[in-house]
Amino acid sequence: MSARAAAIEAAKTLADAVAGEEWAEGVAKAVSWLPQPEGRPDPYMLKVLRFLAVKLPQIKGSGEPWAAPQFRLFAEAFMLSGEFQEVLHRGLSSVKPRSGSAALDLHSGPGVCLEAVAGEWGKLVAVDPSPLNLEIVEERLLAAGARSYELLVGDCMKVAGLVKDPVGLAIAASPVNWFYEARLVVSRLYTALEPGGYLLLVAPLERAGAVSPLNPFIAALGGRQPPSREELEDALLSEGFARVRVREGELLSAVVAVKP
Amino acid sequence: MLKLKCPQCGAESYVKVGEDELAAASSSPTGLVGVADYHGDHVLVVYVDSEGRDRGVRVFRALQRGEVVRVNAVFLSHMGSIAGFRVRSGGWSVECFAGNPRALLSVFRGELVLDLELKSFDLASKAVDWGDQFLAALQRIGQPDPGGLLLSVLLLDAYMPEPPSPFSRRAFEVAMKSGKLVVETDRSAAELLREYAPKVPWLTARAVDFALSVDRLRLVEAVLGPDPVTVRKRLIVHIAKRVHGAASKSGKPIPQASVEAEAPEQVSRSARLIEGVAGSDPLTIRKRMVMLLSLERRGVVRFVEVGA
Repeated sequence: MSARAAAIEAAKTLADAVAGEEWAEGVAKAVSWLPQPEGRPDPYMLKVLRFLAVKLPQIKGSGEPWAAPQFRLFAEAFMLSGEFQEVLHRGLSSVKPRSGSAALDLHSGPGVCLEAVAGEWGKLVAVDPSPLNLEIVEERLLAAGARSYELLVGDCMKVAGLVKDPVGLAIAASPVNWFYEARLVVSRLYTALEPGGYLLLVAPLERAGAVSPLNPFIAALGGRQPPSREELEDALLSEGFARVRVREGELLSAVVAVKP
Repeated sequence: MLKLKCPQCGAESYVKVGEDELAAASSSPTGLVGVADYHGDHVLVVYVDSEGRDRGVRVFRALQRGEVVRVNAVFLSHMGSIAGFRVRSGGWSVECFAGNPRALLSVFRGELVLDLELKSFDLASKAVDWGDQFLAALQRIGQPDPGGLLLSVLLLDAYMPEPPSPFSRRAFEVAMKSGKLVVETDRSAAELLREYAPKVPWLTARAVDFALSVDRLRLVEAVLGPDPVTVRKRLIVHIAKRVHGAASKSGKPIPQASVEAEAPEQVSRSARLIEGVAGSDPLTIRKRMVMLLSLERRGVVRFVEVGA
Protein backbone atom coordinates (compact mmCIF):
# COMPACT_ATOMS: atom_id res chain seq x y z
CA MET A 1 0.00 0.00 0.00
CA SER A 2 1.34 3.37 -0.99
CA ALA A 3 1.33 6.59 1.05
CA ARG A 4 2.34 8.45 -2.10
CA ALA A 5 -0.61 7.11 -4.08
CA ALA A 6 -2.88 8.09 -1.16
CA ALA A 7 -1.58 11.67 -1.25
CA ILE A 8 -2.13 11.90 -5.02
CA GLU A 9 -5.68 10.54 -4.66
CA ALA A 10 -6.45 12.90 -1.78
CA ALA A 11 -5.14 15.86 -3.78
CA LYS A 12 -8.09 15.32 -6.16
CA THR A 13 -10.46 15.65 -3.20
CA LEU A 14 -8.58 18.80 -2.24
CA ALA A 15 -9.11 20.35 -5.69
CA ASP A 16 -12.86 19.68 -5.39
CA ALA A 17 -13.07 20.88 -1.79
CA VAL A 18 -11.49 24.26 -2.46
CA ALA A 19 -13.09 24.90 -5.85
CA GLY A 20 -14.77 28.29 -5.67
CA GLU A 21 -12.29 29.75 -3.20
CA GLU A 22 -10.33 32.78 -4.36
CA TRP A 23 -7.07 30.89 -4.00
CA ALA A 24 -8.29 27.67 -5.68
CA GLU A 25 -6.47 28.31 -8.96
CA GLY A 26 -2.98 27.85 -7.52
CA VAL A 27 -4.09 24.65 -5.80
CA ALA A 28 -5.63 23.26 -8.98
CA LYS A 29 -2.39 24.01 -10.82
CA ALA A 30 -0.33 22.22 -8.15
CA VAL A 31 -2.68 19.21 -8.37
CA SER A 32 -2.39 19.14 -12.17
CA TRP A 33 1.41 18.69 -11.91
CA LEU A 34 1.06 15.46 -9.96
CA PRO A 35 1.61 12.16 -11.75
CA GLN A 36 -0.97 9.38 -11.82
CA PRO A 37 -0.92 7.29 -8.62
CA GLU A 38 0.96 4.00 -8.74
CA GLY A 39 -0.07 1.14 -6.52
CA ARG A 40 -2.90 0.84 -4.03
CA PRO A 41 -3.35 3.95 -1.85
CA ASP A 42 -2.63 3.47 1.86
CA PRO A 43 -6.21 3.68 3.27
CA TYR A 44 -5.13 5.34 6.54
CA MET A 45 -3.11 8.07 4.81
CA LEU A 46 -5.95 8.56 2.34
CA LYS A 47 -8.44 9.19 5.18
CA VAL A 48 -6.04 11.55 6.96
CA LEU A 49 -5.30 13.65 3.88
CA ARG A 50 -8.92 13.63 2.72
CA PHE A 51 -9.88 14.97 6.15
CA LEU A 52 -7.36 17.80 5.65
CA ALA A 53 -8.68 18.40 2.13
CA VAL A 54 -12.31 18.69 3.22
CA LYS A 55 -11.50 20.88 6.24
CA LEU A 56 -9.08 23.13 4.39
CA PRO A 57 -11.47 26.01 3.68
CA GLN A 58 -12.36 26.10 7.41
CA ILE A 59 -8.70 25.84 8.45
CA LYS A 60 -7.64 28.59 6.10
CA GLY A 61 -10.60 30.75 7.11
CA SER A 62 -9.50 30.64 10.75
CA GLY A 63 -6.71 33.15 10.03
CA GLU A 64 -4.10 31.11 11.93
CA PRO A 65 -4.22 27.77 10.09
CA TRP A 66 -1.42 26.19 12.18
CA ALA A 67 -3.55 26.75 15.29
CA ALA A 68 -6.92 25.63 13.84
CA PRO A 69 -8.40 22.65 15.73
CA GLN A 70 -8.86 20.68 12.50
CA PHE A 71 -5.18 21.17 11.65
CA ARG A 72 -4.15 20.03 15.14
CA LEU A 73 -6.14 16.82 14.67
CA PHE A 74 -4.74 16.31 11.16
CA ALA A 75 -1.16 16.84 12.37
CA GLU A 76 -1.52 14.21 15.09
CA ALA A 77 -3.15 11.70 12.72
CA PHE A 78 -0.48 12.36 10.07
CA MET A 79 2.41 11.97 12.52
CA LEU A 80 1.01 8.66 13.75
CA SER A 81 0.84 7.28 10.20
CA GLY A 82 3.07 4.37 9.21
CA GLU A 83 4.94 6.57 6.71
CA PHE A 84 5.81 9.30 9.22
CA GLN A 85 6.72 6.86 11.98
CA GLU A 86 8.98 4.84 9.70
CA VAL A 87 10.82 7.89 8.40
CA LEU A 88 11.12 9.39 11.90
CA HIS A 89 12.62 6.20 13.32
CA ARG A 90 14.99 5.86 10.38
CA GLY A 91 16.23 9.36 11.15
CA LEU A 92 16.48 8.67 14.89
CA SER A 93 18.55 5.56 14.22
CA SER A 94 21.39 7.93 13.15
CA VAL A 95 21.21 9.90 16.41
CA LYS A 96 23.14 8.89 19.54
CA PRO A 97 21.09 9.94 22.58
CA ARG A 98 22.81 11.67 25.52
CA SER A 99 21.02 11.44 28.82
CA GLY A 100 22.77 14.59 30.07
CA SER A 101 21.47 16.75 27.21
CA ALA A 102 18.10 18.07 26.13
CA ALA A 103 16.03 17.34 23.03
CA LEU A 104 14.17 20.24 21.43
CA ASP A 105 11.17 19.86 19.13
CA LEU A 106 10.59 23.09 17.20
CA HIS A 107 7.02 23.67 15.94
CA SER A 108 6.28 20.46 17.80
CA GLY A 109 2.62 20.12 16.85
CA PRO A 110 1.18 17.35 19.07
CA GLY A 111 4.62 16.25 20.34
CA VAL A 112 4.78 12.86 18.64
CA CYS A 113 8.55 13.22 18.04
CA LEU A 114 9.31 14.10 21.66
CA GLU A 115 7.31 11.06 22.75
CA ALA A 116 9.57 8.95 20.51
CA VAL A 117 12.73 10.17 22.28
CA ALA A 118 11.34 10.43 25.84
CA GLY A 119 13.54 8.48 28.25
CA GLU A 120 16.63 8.86 26.07
CA TRP A 121 17.31 12.53 26.73
CA GLY A 122 17.62 14.29 30.11
CA LYS A 123 15.10 16.99 29.27
CA LEU A 124 12.46 17.50 26.58
CA VAL A 125 11.62 20.95 25.23
CA ALA A 126 8.65 21.71 22.95
CA VAL A 127 8.27 25.05 21.19
CA ASP A 128 5.06 25.70 19.28
CA PRO A 129 3.05 28.80 18.38
CA SER A 130 -0.21 27.16 19.55
CA PRO A 131 -0.76 26.76 23.33
CA LEU A 132 -3.36 24.08 22.57
CA ASN A 133 -0.75 22.04 20.72
CA LEU A 134 1.43 22.32 23.81
CA GLU A 135 -1.46 21.04 25.94
CA ILE A 136 -1.52 17.94 23.71
CA VAL A 137 2.28 17.64 24.02
CA GLU A 138 1.92 17.72 27.79
CA GLU A 139 -0.76 15.02 27.71
CA ARG A 140 1.51 12.87 25.56
CA LEU A 141 4.67 13.39 27.65
CA LEU A 142 2.87 12.66 30.91
CA ALA A 143 1.52 9.44 29.42
CA ALA A 144 5.07 8.55 28.31
CA GLY A 145 6.26 9.00 31.90
CA ALA A 146 8.41 12.07 31.15
CA ARG A 147 9.01 14.22 34.20
CA SER A 148 11.50 16.82 32.99
CA TYR A 149 10.06 18.88 30.19
CA GLU A 150 9.46 22.48 29.18
CA LEU A 151 6.61 23.76 27.00
CA LEU A 152 7.22 27.12 25.37
CA VAL A 153 4.86 29.20 23.26
CA GLY A 154 6.71 30.61 20.26
CA ASP A 155 8.25 29.76 16.91
CA CYS A 156 11.60 29.73 15.14
CA MET A 157 11.82 33.52 15.31
CA LYS A 158 11.80 33.38 19.10
CA VAL A 159 13.52 30.07 19.77
CA ALA A 160 16.93 31.58 20.58
CA GLY A 161 15.40 33.71 23.34
CA LEU A 162 13.18 30.92 24.66
CA VAL A 163 15.66 28.03 24.86
CA LYS A 164 18.36 29.18 27.27
CA ASP A 165 20.72 26.17 27.30
CA PRO A 166 22.07 24.51 24.13
CA VAL A 167 20.44 21.20 23.26
CA GLY A 168 21.86 17.89 22.02
CA LEU A 169 19.06 17.17 19.56
CA ALA A 170 16.95 19.67 17.62
CA ILE A 171 13.95 18.30 15.71
CA ALA A 172 11.75 20.05 13.13
CA ALA A 173 9.32 17.49 11.80
CA SER A 174 5.64 18.21 12.45
CA PRO A 175 3.39 19.67 9.73
CA VAL A 176 3.46 22.98 11.65
CA ASN A 177 6.89 23.39 9.99
CA TRP A 178 5.14 23.61 6.62
CA PHE A 179 4.39 27.22 7.50
CA TYR A 180 8.05 28.18 7.91
CA GLU A 181 10.97 28.70 5.53
CA ALA A 182 13.21 25.63 5.84
CA ARG A 183 16.43 27.67 5.56
CA LEU A 184 15.32 29.91 8.45
CA VAL A 185 14.43 26.91 10.63
CA VAL A 186 17.81 25.32 9.95
CA SER A 187 19.65 28.53 10.79
CA ARG A 188 17.76 29.05 14.08
CA LEU A 189 18.27 25.46 15.16
CA TYR A 190 22.02 25.66 14.47
CA THR A 191 22.31 28.34 17.17
CA ALA A 192 20.24 26.26 19.62
CA LEU A 193 22.50 23.18 19.30
CA GLU A 194 25.54 22.35 21.41
CA PRO A 195 28.72 21.26 19.57
CA GLY A 196 28.27 17.69 18.43
CA GLY A 197 24.48 18.14 18.60
CA TYR A 198 22.17 16.55 16.05
CA LEU A 199 19.64 18.18 13.77
CA LEU A 200 16.73 15.99 12.61
CA LEU A 201 14.32 17.20 9.95
CA VAL A 202 11.34 15.29 8.55
CA ALA A 203 9.94 16.96 5.45
CA PRO A 204 8.36 16.20 2.06
CA LEU A 205 11.62 16.50 0.07
CA GLU A 206 11.87 15.63 -3.60
CA ARG A 207 14.81 15.53 -6.00
CA ALA A 208 15.20 18.77 -7.98
CA GLY A 209 12.51 18.99 -10.66
CA ALA A 210 10.12 16.53 -9.00
CA VAL A 211 6.90 17.51 -7.21
CA SER A 212 5.79 16.26 -3.79
CA PRO A 213 2.16 15.13 -3.66
CA LEU A 214 1.93 17.14 -0.44
CA ASN A 215 2.71 20.39 -2.27
CA PRO A 216 -0.94 21.15 -3.19
CA PHE A 217 -1.92 20.79 0.48
CA ILE A 218 0.91 23.06 1.61
CA ALA A 219 -0.03 25.60 -1.07
CA ALA A 220 -3.68 25.49 -0.02
CA LEU A 221 -2.72 26.04 3.64
CA GLY A 222 -0.69 29.10 2.66
CA GLY A 223 2.54 27.38 3.75
CA ARG A 224 6.06 27.61 2.33
CA GLN A 225 6.89 25.18 -0.46
CA PRO A 226 9.61 22.82 0.78
CA PRO A 227 13.06 23.04 -0.85
CA SER A 228 14.36 20.25 -3.04
CA ARG A 229 16.60 17.69 -1.39
CA GLU A 230 19.66 19.27 -3.06
CA GLU A 231 18.71 22.80 -1.96
CA LEU A 232 18.29 21.65 1.62
CA GLU A 233 21.63 19.82 1.64
CA ASP A 234 23.32 23.00 0.34
CA ALA A 235 21.59 25.09 3.01
CA LEU A 236 22.75 22.73 5.76
CA LEU A 237 26.36 22.73 4.61
CA SER A 238 26.49 26.49 4.14
CA GLU A 239 25.04 26.96 7.64
CA GLY A 240 27.98 24.95 9.01
CA PHE A 241 26.44 21.52 9.56
CA ALA A 242 28.47 18.39 8.76
CA ARG A 243 27.76 14.68 8.23
CA VAL A 244 24.48 15.33 6.39
CA ARG A 245 22.56 12.13 5.86
CA VAL A 246 19.22 11.75 4.07
CA ARG A 247 16.89 8.77 4.58
CA GLU A 248 14.13 8.69 1.99
CA GLY A 249 10.64 7.40 2.57
CA GLU A 250 7.84 7.25 0.06
CA LEU A 251 6.31 10.61 0.84
CA LEU A 252 8.68 12.07 3.42
CA SER A 253 12.44 12.12 4.04
CA ALA A 254 14.47 12.30 7.24
CA VAL A 255 17.57 14.48 7.20
CA VAL A 256 20.15 14.17 9.99
CA ALA A 257 23.11 16.56 10.32
CA VAL A 258 25.63 17.28 13.05
CA LYS A 259 26.89 20.62 14.35
CA PRO A 260 30.71 20.29 14.47
CA MET B 1 -28.92 11.20 57.60
CA LEU B 2 -31.58 13.31 55.88
CA LYS B 3 -33.33 12.12 52.75
CA LEU B 4 -34.48 14.89 50.40
CA LYS B 5 -35.84 15.35 46.91
CA CYS B 6 -34.30 18.20 44.93
CA PRO B 7 -37.01 20.63 43.78
CA GLN B 8 -34.83 21.57 40.79
CA CYS B 9 -33.94 18.23 39.19
CA GLY B 10 -35.96 15.71 41.19
CA ALA B 11 -32.87 13.75 42.27
CA GLU B 12 -32.97 12.07 45.68
CA SER B 13 -30.26 13.26 48.04
CA TYR B 14 -28.96 11.79 51.26
CA VAL B 15 -27.30 14.45 53.39
CA LYS B 16 -25.27 13.39 56.38
CA VAL B 17 -25.50 15.71 59.36
CA GLY B 18 -22.74 15.10 61.89
CA GLU B 19 -21.53 16.68 65.10
CA ASP B 20 -19.55 19.34 63.23
CA GLU B 21 -22.68 20.58 61.48
CA LEU B 22 -24.67 20.60 64.72
CA ALA B 23 -21.88 22.55 66.44
CA ALA B 24 -21.71 25.00 63.52
CA ALA B 25 -25.49 25.50 63.73
CA SER B 26 -25.42 26.21 67.45
CA SER B 27 -22.60 28.73 67.07
CA SER B 28 -24.23 30.42 64.06
CA PRO B 29 -26.15 33.69 64.75
CA THR B 30 -29.17 32.26 62.89
CA GLY B 31 -28.99 28.92 64.72
CA LEU B 32 -28.89 27.15 61.36
CA VAL B 33 -26.24 25.63 59.13
CA GLY B 34 -26.59 24.96 55.40
CA VAL B 35 -25.34 21.59 54.12
CA ALA B 36 -25.00 21.39 50.35
CA ASP B 37 -25.28 18.47 47.93
CA TYR B 38 -23.66 18.67 44.47
CA HIS B 39 -26.17 18.32 41.60
CA GLY B 40 -24.09 19.40 38.61
CA ASP B 41 -25.14 22.89 37.53
CA HIS B 42 -26.73 23.65 40.89
CA VAL B 43 -26.39 22.68 44.52
CA LEU B 44 -29.16 21.71 46.90
CA VAL B 45 -28.72 23.26 50.34
CA VAL B 46 -30.61 21.88 53.33
CA TYR B 47 -30.70 24.08 56.43
CA VAL B 48 -30.38 22.22 59.70
CA ASP B 49 -30.71 23.48 63.27
CA SER B 50 -28.58 22.48 66.25
CA GLU B 51 -30.93 19.53 66.92
CA GLY B 52 -30.35 18.18 63.42
CA ARG B 53 -33.86 19.03 62.22
CA ASP B 54 -34.48 19.93 58.58
CA ARG B 55 -35.44 23.64 58.50
CA GLY B 56 -35.90 24.04 54.77
CA VAL B 57 -34.13 23.55 51.45
CA ARG B 58 -32.89 25.94 48.79
CA VAL B 59 -31.39 25.48 45.34
CA PHE B 60 -28.42 27.65 44.43
CA ARG B 61 -27.40 28.34 40.85
CA ALA B 62 -25.09 31.22 41.80
CA LEU B 63 -23.21 31.98 44.95
CA GLN B 64 -24.71 34.85 46.92
CA ARG B 65 -22.65 37.42 48.75
CA GLY B 66 -22.32 36.48 52.41
CA GLU B 67 -23.28 32.86 51.72
CA VAL B 68 -21.39 30.04 53.42
CA VAL B 69 -22.05 26.71 51.69
CA ARG B 70 -20.95 23.52 53.45
CA VAL B 71 -20.91 20.71 50.93
CA ASN B 72 -22.05 17.23 51.91
CA ALA B 73 -18.90 15.33 52.94
CA VAL B 74 -19.91 12.46 50.62
CA PHE B 75 -18.46 14.67 47.84
CA LEU B 76 -15.00 13.93 49.21
CA SER B 77 -15.40 10.25 48.33
CA HIS B 78 -14.73 11.27 44.68
CA MET B 79 -11.31 12.65 45.61
CA GLY B 80 -7.91 10.98 45.50
CA SER B 81 -5.59 13.66 46.92
CA ILE B 82 -7.83 16.20 48.63
CA ALA B 83 -9.26 15.33 52.05
CA GLY B 84 -11.13 18.62 52.48
CA PHE B 85 -11.26 22.12 51.01
CA ARG B 86 -12.57 25.62 51.42
CA VAL B 87 -12.77 28.27 48.68
CA ARG B 88 -13.34 31.79 49.99
CA SER B 89 -13.68 35.23 48.55
CA GLY B 90 -14.55 38.45 50.33
CA GLY B 91 -18.22 37.70 49.77
CA TRP B 92 -18.81 33.94 49.94
CA SER B 93 -17.34 30.63 51.00
CA VAL B 94 -17.76 27.03 49.85
CA GLU B 95 -16.29 24.30 52.00
CA CYS B 96 -16.27 20.55 52.39
CA PHE B 97 -14.60 18.75 55.30
CA ALA B 98 -15.22 15.33 56.77
CA GLY B 99 -14.32 16.56 60.27
CA ASN B 100 -12.05 19.13 61.84
CA PRO B 101 -9.06 19.52 59.52
CA ARG B 102 -5.72 18.93 61.27
CA ALA B 103 -3.57 20.95 58.89
CA LEU B 104 -4.61 23.27 56.10
CA LEU B 105 -2.53 24.54 53.23
CA SER B 106 -3.68 27.98 52.09
CA VAL B 107 -3.17 29.52 48.66
CA PHE B 108 -3.93 33.22 48.17
CA ARG B 109 -4.68 35.33 45.12
CA GLY B 110 -6.18 38.77 45.65
CA GLU B 111 -9.19 38.35 47.88
CA LEU B 112 -9.52 34.68 46.91
CA VAL B 113 -8.29 31.95 49.24
CA LEU B 114 -8.12 28.21 48.69
CA ASP B 115 -7.65 26.13 51.85
CA LEU B 116 -6.73 22.50 51.22
CA GLU B 117 -6.56 19.56 53.56
CA LEU B 118 -4.36 17.02 51.77
CA LYS B 119 -4.32 13.26 52.20
CA SER B 120 -0.53 13.39 51.92
CA PHE B 121 1.66 16.41 52.53
CA ASP B 122 4.04 15.10 49.84
CA LEU B 123 1.81 16.91 47.35
CA ALA B 124 2.07 20.26 49.15
CA SER B 125 4.37 22.05 46.71
CA LYS B 126 2.40 20.83 43.68
CA ALA B 127 -0.83 21.77 45.45
CA VAL B 128 0.38 25.37 45.79
CA ASP B 129 1.10 25.66 42.04
CA TRP B 130 -2.10 23.92 41.00
CA GLY B 131 -4.07 25.94 43.56
CA ASP B 132 -2.65 29.17 42.14
CA GLN B 133 -3.85 28.20 38.63
CA PHE B 134 -7.24 27.29 40.11
CA LEU B 135 -7.55 30.70 41.77
CA ALA B 136 -6.31 32.47 38.60
CA ALA B 137 -9.20 30.85 36.73
CA LEU B 138 -11.64 31.82 39.48
CA GLN B 139 -10.37 35.37 39.38
CA ARG B 140 -11.11 35.56 35.65
CA ILE B 141 -14.55 33.96 35.97
CA GLY B 142 -15.67 36.27 38.79
CA GLN B 143 -18.79 34.98 40.55
CA PRO B 144 -18.85 31.22 39.82
CA ASP B 145 -21.86 28.96 39.90
CA PRO B 146 -21.44 26.48 42.75
CA GLY B 147 -21.78 23.39 40.54
CA GLY B 148 -19.01 24.57 38.23
CA LEU B 149 -16.84 25.45 41.21
CA LEU B 150 -17.20 21.94 42.64
CA LEU B 151 -16.48 20.34 39.27
CA SER B 152 -13.29 22.37 39.05
CA VAL B 153 -12.30 21.13 42.52
CA LEU B 154 -12.71 17.56 41.19
CA LEU B 155 -10.44 18.51 38.29
CA LEU B 156 -7.91 20.04 40.71
CA ASP B 157 -7.87 16.75 42.59
CA ALA B 158 -7.39 14.76 39.37
CA TYR B 159 -4.47 16.93 38.27
CA MET B 160 -2.68 17.30 41.58
CA PRO B 161 -0.34 14.26 41.40
CA GLU B 162 0.94 15.50 38.01
CA PRO B 163 3.62 18.17 37.52
CA PRO B 164 1.98 21.62 37.57
CA SER B 165 0.94 22.76 34.11
CA PRO B 166 1.08 26.33 32.79
CA PHE B 167 -2.03 25.56 30.74
CA SER B 168 -4.33 24.33 33.49
CA ARG B 169 -6.01 27.68 34.09
CA ARG B 170 -7.99 27.25 30.87
CA ALA B 171 -9.17 23.80 31.98
CA PHE B 172 -10.34 25.17 35.34
CA GLU B 173 -12.15 28.01 33.59
CA VAL B 174 -13.97 25.53 31.35
CA ALA B 175 -15.03 23.48 34.38
CA MET B 176 -16.18 26.58 36.28
CA LYS B 177 -18.33 27.65 33.31
CA SER B 178 -19.57 24.12 32.59
CA GLY B 179 -23.21 25.02 33.33
CA LYS B 180 -23.16 27.64 30.56
CA LEU B 181 -21.29 25.67 27.91
CA VAL B 182 -22.76 23.33 25.30
CA VAL B 183 -20.70 20.54 23.71
CA GLU B 184 -20.65 20.45 19.92
CA THR B 185 -19.11 17.37 18.32
CA ASP B 186 -17.47 17.43 14.89
CA ARG B 187 -18.50 14.03 13.54
CA SER B 188 -15.88 13.81 10.81
CA ALA B 189 -13.17 14.74 13.32
CA ALA B 190 -14.50 12.05 15.67
CA GLU B 191 -14.33 9.48 12.89
CA LEU B 192 -10.72 10.45 12.07
CA LEU B 193 -9.83 10.14 15.73
CA ARG B 194 -11.43 6.68 15.73
CA GLU B 195 -8.91 5.70 13.03
CA TYR B 196 -5.88 6.50 15.14
CA ALA B 197 -7.22 6.23 18.70
CA PRO B 198 -5.63 2.75 19.12
CA LYS B 199 -2.24 4.45 18.72
CA VAL B 200 -2.95 6.83 21.60
CA PRO B 201 -3.21 4.68 24.73
CA TRP B 202 -5.26 7.16 26.78
CA LEU B 203 -7.78 7.82 23.98
CA THR B 204 -9.69 4.72 23.00
CA ALA B 205 -12.51 4.23 20.51
CA ARG B 206 -14.77 4.49 23.57
CA ALA B 207 -13.72 8.14 23.87
CA VAL B 208 -15.00 8.67 20.33
CA ASP B 209 -18.34 7.05 21.17
CA PHE B 210 -18.49 9.27 24.23
CA ALA B 211 -17.83 12.39 22.10
CA LEU B 212 -20.65 11.41 19.75
CA SER B 213 -23.04 10.64 22.61
CA VAL B 214 -22.65 14.05 24.28
CA ASP B 215 -23.18 16.17 21.18
CA ARG B 216 -25.37 19.18 22.02
CA LEU B 217 -25.52 18.39 25.72
CA ARG B 218 -24.54 21.02 28.21
CA LEU B 219 -21.00 20.35 29.37
CA VAL B 220 -22.15 19.74 32.91
CA GLU B 221 -24.60 17.09 31.66
CA ALA B 222 -21.90 15.53 29.48
CA VAL B 223 -19.74 15.14 32.56
CA LEU B 224 -22.41 14.02 35.02
CA GLY B 225 -24.84 12.31 32.66
CA PRO B 226 -27.88 14.22 31.42
CA ASP B 227 -30.83 14.85 33.75
CA PRO B 228 -34.09 13.10 32.81
CA VAL B 229 -35.77 16.32 31.68
CA THR B 230 -33.02 17.00 29.13
CA VAL B 231 -33.07 13.42 27.89
CA ARG B 232 -36.84 13.65 27.44
CA LYS B 233 -36.64 16.97 25.58
CA ARG B 234 -33.91 15.72 23.28
CA LEU B 235 -35.76 12.52 22.59
CA ILE B 236 -39.07 14.21 21.84
CA VAL B 237 -37.30 16.43 19.33
CA HIS B 238 -35.58 13.39 17.85
CA ILE B 239 -38.83 11.39 17.59
CA ALA B 240 -40.72 14.40 16.26
CA LYS B 241 -38.10 14.81 13.54
CA ARG B 242 -38.22 11.12 12.69
CA VAL B 243 -42.03 10.93 12.66
CA HIS B 244 -42.26 14.24 10.86
CA GLY B 245 -39.79 13.02 8.25
CA ALA B 246 -41.94 9.92 7.68
CA ALA B 247 -45.07 12.06 7.56
CA SER B 248 -43.60 14.40 5.00
CA LYS B 249 -43.00 11.45 2.72
CA SER B 250 -46.61 10.24 3.09
CA GLY B 251 -47.93 13.80 2.97
CA LYS B 252 -49.96 13.38 6.19
CA PRO B 253 -49.43 15.68 9.19
CA ILE B 254 -48.63 13.99 12.50
CA PRO B 255 -50.75 15.09 15.48
CA GLN B 256 -48.61 16.41 18.35
CA ALA B 257 -50.32 14.01 20.82
CA SER B 258 -48.96 10.95 19.11
CA VAL B 259 -45.42 12.27 19.52
CA GLU B 260 -45.98 12.91 23.25
CA ALA B 261 -47.58 9.48 23.72
CA GLU B 262 -44.60 7.73 22.21
CA ALA B 263 -42.03 9.56 24.22
CA PRO B 264 -41.97 8.21 27.84
CA GLU B 265 -41.10 4.59 27.07
CA GLN B 266 -38.49 5.72 24.58
CA VAL B 267 -37.05 8.12 27.16
CA SER B 268 -36.09 5.40 29.59
CA ARG B 269 -34.53 3.37 26.80
CA SER B 270 -32.58 6.41 25.63
CA ALA B 271 -31.51 7.25 29.17
CA ARG B 272 -30.16 3.73 29.59
CA LEU B 273 -28.37 4.02 26.28
CA ILE B 274 -26.69 7.28 27.27
CA GLU B 275 -25.77 5.89 30.68
CA GLY B 276 -24.36 2.85 28.95
CA VAL B 277 -22.16 4.98 26.77
CA ALA B 278 -21.16 7.64 29.26
CA GLY B 279 -21.17 5.52 32.42
CA SER B 280 -23.11 6.47 35.53
CA ASP B 281 -20.50 5.90 38.22
CA PRO B 282 -19.87 9.22 40.01
CA LEU B 283 -16.18 8.39 40.36
CA THR B 284 -15.84 8.73 36.58
CA ILE B 285 -16.98 12.37 36.61
CA ARG B 286 -13.47 13.76 36.63
CA LYS B 287 -12.28 11.18 34.08
CA ARG B 288 -15.01 12.35 31.72
CA MET B 289 -14.02 15.98 32.29
CA VAL B 290 -10.36 15.20 31.56
CA MET B 291 -11.39 13.21 28.47
CA LEU B 292 -13.62 16.01 27.16
CA LEU B 293 -10.77 18.50 27.54
CA SER B 294 -8.52 16.13 25.62
CA LEU B 295 -11.12 15.84 22.84
CA GLU B 296 -11.55 19.62 22.80
CA ARG B 297 -7.81 20.14 22.29
CA ARG B 298 -8.06 17.97 19.19
CA GLY B 299 -11.08 19.80 17.82
CA VAL B 300 -13.30 16.70 18.12
CA VAL B 301 -15.60 18.69 20.39
CA ARG B 302 -15.87 22.38 21.10
CA PHE B 303 -17.53 24.19 23.97
CA VAL B 304 -19.94 26.91 22.97
CA GLU B 305 -21.23 29.39 25.51
CA VAL B 306 -25.02 29.34 25.65
CA GLY B 307 -26.42 32.51 24.14
CA ALA B 308 -23.06 33.42 22.54
